[in-house]
Amino acid sequence: MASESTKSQAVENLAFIREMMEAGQRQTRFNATYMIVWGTLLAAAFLAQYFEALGYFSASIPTIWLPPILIGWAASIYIGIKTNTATDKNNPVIKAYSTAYMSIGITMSFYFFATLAFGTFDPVTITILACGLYGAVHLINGVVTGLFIFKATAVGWWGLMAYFTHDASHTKEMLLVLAGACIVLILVPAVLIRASRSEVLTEAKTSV
Amino acid sequence: MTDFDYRAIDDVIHSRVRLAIMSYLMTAGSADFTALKKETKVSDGNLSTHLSKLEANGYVIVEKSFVDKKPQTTVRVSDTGREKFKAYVDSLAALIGTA
Repeated sequence: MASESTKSQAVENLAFIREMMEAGQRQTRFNATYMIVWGTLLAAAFLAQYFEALGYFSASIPTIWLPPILIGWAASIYIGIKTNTATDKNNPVIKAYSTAYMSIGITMSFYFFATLAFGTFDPVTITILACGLYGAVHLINGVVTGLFIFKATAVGWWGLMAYFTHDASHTKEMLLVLAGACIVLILVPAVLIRASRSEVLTEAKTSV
Repeated sequence: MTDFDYRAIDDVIHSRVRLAIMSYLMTAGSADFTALKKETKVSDGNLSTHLSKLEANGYVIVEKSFVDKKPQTTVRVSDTGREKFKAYVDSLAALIGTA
């Protein structure tokens, strides 16, 4: 039979586990926040563009895309300033995936603004570019973090790239597919990653 | 009477320092040696010893690399470690429930 002192030690250990897990969560929980922010903004922008194409309202591409891009960058900078710790700066894993995501943002923003400025914007090219970049970055994330879900979503992005390469026509449905991809391949994995990290933490909390 | 099995307590994780390392890595995913030292508040040698035991049992994966020409050790929890940790928390919960 477990004695009172053994039980007391178990309670103490669970409290200690909770404390350490919360310390670990403070280090990386915001990683998923970037994905949640961008997944939501991109899905919303694609849906807005889809409904615009259907004729529900009238707006130009810059009008639809500028707000989410600016909000996304502002939110990313804010999250970065708020959460950037000495540990993050020294952690090669965090540096690897944050740089990978930043490279998507820079490439896509550069393409978007440059092609708008020169009048060479091509919706199919930017779509294929985005799918390829997301596939590459998710593979990098999968390798450096050891999270299998990123490898699965990398395959999803490359599958989409193959699909859009095969059918290069810019249709309304393409916008809907991309909105769905942002939800399924960015937003949902972010929520799952966050949930899996808090699962044991919750268990430790409720067990005390 | 109780049906709690004391053998369910995982000796590899049960040490205070190793428990701290595993708990931290479960949510952090990975951490460098300096961060773990700061969080566990132990000496370099002590931390190395505990990491070696966790690594030998397959609970963590230790990777060494060079960043800005300086050696860096990164530790992340393995799938086995994740499962063992969950089982450990379950065993503590069972212990409390049956005392």
